[in-house]
Amino acid sequence: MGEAEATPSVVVSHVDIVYRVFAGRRPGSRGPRSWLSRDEENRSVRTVHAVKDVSFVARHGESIGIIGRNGSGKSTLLRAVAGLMPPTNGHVWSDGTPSLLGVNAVLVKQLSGARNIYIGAQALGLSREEVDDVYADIVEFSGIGDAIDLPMSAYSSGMAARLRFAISTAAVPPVLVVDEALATGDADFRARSRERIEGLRERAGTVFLVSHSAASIRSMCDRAIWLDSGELVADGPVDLVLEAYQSSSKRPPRSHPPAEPDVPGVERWSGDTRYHTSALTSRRGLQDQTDTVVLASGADLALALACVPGGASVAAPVLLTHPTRLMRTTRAEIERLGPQQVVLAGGPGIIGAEVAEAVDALGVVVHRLGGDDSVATSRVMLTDLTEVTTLDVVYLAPVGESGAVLTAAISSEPGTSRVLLVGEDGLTAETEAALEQLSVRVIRVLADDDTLDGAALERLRSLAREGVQRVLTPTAAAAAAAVSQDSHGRGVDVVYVASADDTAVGDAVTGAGVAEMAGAPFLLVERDDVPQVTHEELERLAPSHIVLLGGPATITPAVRARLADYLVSDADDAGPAPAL
Amino acid sequence: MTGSTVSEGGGLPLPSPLSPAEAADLARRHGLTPLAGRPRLRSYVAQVWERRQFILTLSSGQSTARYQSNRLGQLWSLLNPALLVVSYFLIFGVLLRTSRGVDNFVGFLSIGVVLFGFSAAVIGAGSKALSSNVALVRALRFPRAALPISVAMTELIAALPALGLLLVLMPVLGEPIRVQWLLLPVSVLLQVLQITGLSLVGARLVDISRDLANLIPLFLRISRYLSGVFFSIATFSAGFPEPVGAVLRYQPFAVQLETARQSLMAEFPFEPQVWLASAGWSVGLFVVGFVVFWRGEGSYGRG
Repeated sequence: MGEAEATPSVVVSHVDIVYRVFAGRRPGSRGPRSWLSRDEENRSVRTVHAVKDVSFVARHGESIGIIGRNGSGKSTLLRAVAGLMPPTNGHVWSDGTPSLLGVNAVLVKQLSGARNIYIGAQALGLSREEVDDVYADIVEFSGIGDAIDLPMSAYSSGMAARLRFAISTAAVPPVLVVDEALATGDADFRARSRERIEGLRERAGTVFLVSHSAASIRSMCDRAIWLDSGELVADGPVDLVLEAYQSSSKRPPRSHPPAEPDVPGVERWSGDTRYHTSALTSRRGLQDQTDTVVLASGADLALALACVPGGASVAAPVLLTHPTRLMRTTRAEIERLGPQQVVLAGGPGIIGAEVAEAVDALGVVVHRLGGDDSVATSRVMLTDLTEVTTLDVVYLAPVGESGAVLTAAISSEPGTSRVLLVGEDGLTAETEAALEQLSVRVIRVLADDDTLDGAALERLRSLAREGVQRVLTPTAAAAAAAVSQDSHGRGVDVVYVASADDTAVGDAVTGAGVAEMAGAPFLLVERDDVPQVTHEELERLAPSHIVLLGGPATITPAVRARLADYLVSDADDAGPAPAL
Repeated sequence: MTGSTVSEGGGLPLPSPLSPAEAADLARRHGLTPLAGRPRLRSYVAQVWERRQFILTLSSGQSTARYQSNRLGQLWSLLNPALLVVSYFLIFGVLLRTSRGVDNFVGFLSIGVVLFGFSAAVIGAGSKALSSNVALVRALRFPRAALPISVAMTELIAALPALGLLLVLMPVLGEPIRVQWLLLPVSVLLQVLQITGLSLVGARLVDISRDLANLIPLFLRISRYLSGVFFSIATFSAGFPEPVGAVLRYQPFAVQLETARQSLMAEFPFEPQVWLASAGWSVGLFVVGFVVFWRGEGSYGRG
């Protein structure tokens, strides 16, 4: 096929990426040694080795799919390819400046779409004159029409996504990196996006596409790269790599990655993607049918977490769904649960019409709750699921900080507490209005001064009967341990354990609700460590079984083995562990 | 389907990687450029200069967005400093009737409040320009110095109404309209260079350790009291032995306010040595800040 003649566009040579994560304070972590130690790892900063010795050469005209499980380092690798995440070791060379479909980070919501076209396209490197030339084309492609002169905050999330895509692809970059961005918009727009990407590729560019979905990679790419735990597993023609990837996911213990030793009593529930993990967790954790099932988009984990307390209040599990189609595993789980209604968390821009249609086809009543973005949806979720008029505690968490949202979701007592998301624009009039209609006892703010300043807290004070507290210190793991301590005695049957890492938060969504409904404690660990707070609580709980949510990439086999130390043997009477 | 990459045993296609030297050679032969790492200072300056339009577009956008959600909108950029000056006038001019050795104390105070407020806003926001824009840094590729510089531009645009207000206020307070007023833009320009330099250093420091972000408000508060916002620094520094007094008079923030007052107020005569000091600080702080920031380029965005 003449592949050998095509000139290289990107050379990636032995790249390692280790990055820092600011995990917030960990009170008492590892005892007094932690604040005496100078070792960064013991303090609030941790490191993640996300990409390990990856090398490949991409050529002009290729479109390359990157596939791998959750947390396998796909997005991090692509950030390095786009020149955004400097490699810790190794080198990346590229033809010109690659462009990641990430222009939304620079757009200013309060300004008009027209003004944002100039900001976004100039951020991509176009000059003002060049933007003048492509302006009409961007507006036309996005299909926004006269609304282009309205502020972007007035756009639906679908409109905003279309505009972002149109801006991002206006520059004809030599290397375009697409991170699951094609999941937005209606079928017509997706077809046009696909065409546009094909056009870019034909103009001798190189396109990288990250996706969980083998189907979208198969339809758009001719070559695939498979990453697992940050390592390159395969690199070759798309059909061969996908075949290997899919067969590996059907038979998990294969030669690569090395089979994990079984740890009796510590069961691992993990699927290929967050959607599989979510459905599996519900299937294994909930024996009974439920009246209601909440579907939340797996592309918006903060919102999914924020739905957990509301869902638990009506004994509804929160299942993650792919934003634009109902995956087989999700559909099967809905059918098993046999609900009377399925609640979709968010408008059609968050969960596509295709999902609603597919659920409807199962003969289940579909209710859409919520608005165009996650903040608006969390606002609706405050009350509409259970129609309460009063709440004990409302947690305000920034939409961009999944750690804080996880803390809030775990700390919320079902039935009486909820999580409300706040966006970058802080406390909006809509949020205030939503709180005003409720009689809230306490508002707890898990956002720092940058998101909600003193003036915002002052305004909130008038909306809560017993005041406002800003809570910044506890990590999600500490919050989970505290909740467990308050509600469970020693000697529980089963403890659910998920990862507190930002990248693995998806695995916690369904598990948090399922644990609540099963009356089981829910604790958090790190990928490769058991935090001190969790350690102490596990010692106190002395469980008979532990359920681990997520694969070896999100919670290492070493942590799984360590967790076995906390088990109290029930071998005397029970024999083999009862099925959970 | 070529199939050449698959071995007989059904193993996975995985071409063996090039050695680092081979990869470097391949990249060089095809004219590919290294993505990470720090460009040479000269080409970094060129890159920032190339992005000047983007910096301006972003800055004017950000400053327009600032009051967008308020009903009175942009009027607030005028109302805020006006209310501040009025309140200081009531407290110091009417209630306390203090003058502290200055004839036109309200004019003196207004200049101090508006211009030091501008410096504090630039340094406060500029130091956090990277840490509060991690998403942006991780999403788009551009010379990162554009961020602190754009913050300075945003604050400058936002401060223009307040500067205009000063010009209206001065004749009201009895200051004659003089040719020296033309020096005010020069004074502000020198100030912008100085504080942009400081915020470039601040942004690098905060990127190295976020804890340092907590010290910046403290630094600004101390500077506020040591720079002659509320009282004449010349009178104040006279109480100290000479080297200390000179340091207090010639530190950047004091010089910024002094040149502005010499431009607008008749009782502050033009002193060339103050303007020279300001020009020296401008070049020195901006160059040092830019170089310090540039040395971290290539590591921004990792965490």
